[in-house]
Amino acid sequence: MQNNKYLPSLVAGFGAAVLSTIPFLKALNFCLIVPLGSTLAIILLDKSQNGKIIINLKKAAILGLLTGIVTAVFSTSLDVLITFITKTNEFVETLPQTELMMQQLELGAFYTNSIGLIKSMAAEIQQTGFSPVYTIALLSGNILVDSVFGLLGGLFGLSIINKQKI
Amino acid sequence: MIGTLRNNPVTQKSLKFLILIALILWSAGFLFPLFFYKTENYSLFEFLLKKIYGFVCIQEEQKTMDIMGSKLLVCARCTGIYIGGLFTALFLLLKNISAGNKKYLIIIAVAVNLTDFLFVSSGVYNYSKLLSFIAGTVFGSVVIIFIFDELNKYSFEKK
Repeated sequence: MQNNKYLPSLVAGFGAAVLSTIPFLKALNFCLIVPLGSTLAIILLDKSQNGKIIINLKKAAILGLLTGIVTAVFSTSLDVLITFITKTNEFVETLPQTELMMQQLELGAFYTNSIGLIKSMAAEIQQTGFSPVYTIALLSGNILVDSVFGLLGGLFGLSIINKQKI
Repeated sequence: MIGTLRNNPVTQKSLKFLILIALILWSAGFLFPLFFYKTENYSLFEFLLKKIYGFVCIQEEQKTMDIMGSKLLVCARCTGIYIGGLFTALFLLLKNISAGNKKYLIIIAVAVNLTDFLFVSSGVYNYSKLLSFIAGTVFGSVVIIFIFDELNKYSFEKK
């Protein structure tokens, strides 16, 4: 395989990340964006090599996984950037509801600790536009979910290019 | 091309089974309110699960399915995708059916969802949970059919 084998993942991952930040497209289906990004990465790789390389199950899974991780990294970066500029985000805006909900759960000491952490994250975002803990939590969650969906999208993309070759 | 490699049905079935288990666990998560609303610590689990599913679904109140007074944790279309995928995976494990060269299946699945989305967005008709659910089911089923089809073609034997 040539050196640009990861380029489709970067391109499709970035595209998926941008799309996932647009509210109008979020409504279409958030969970479809990442798998379709991975599918696109597989198709792009196949097209860029003019069908000269064989993309097998393992390669497709790795490429899909990579696209998912790239999407997670870019979408978190975009989220962090937008939060840095606006000094607010969904997490801060829904803090009163979150607090109310947690109060109703009657969690005792756990509530005190977690609400303290949540409030300090919200305060950091409102003051500086950036919270390291929030960023790490968001990135971890995005990587976990997007990599699984990306992997499935990779397998789906492989199926599509193989059906085109039949 | 790849179909010429020797297949290992045991590994293929194991992978399919793994996908089915993952789908069952994932579906159990968003169906949690439906079955466990009377259990202790329900609110805590619902709160945590809602945050997890928030990564993949916008979870708009008016787009979430309401079954027997319990609101599911993902929107109707997502519910359709996962349920469609789950039942198709179960069916394909029991009965090995191939999609063959039916590329149009994916075009239909995407077109159905896109049309529903565009018609709702442009006000042609109001959002229908049932329609979104059906459209999602079609898409979820087609994705699993294609993925299982691909698994059927591959060799898992050590070279």
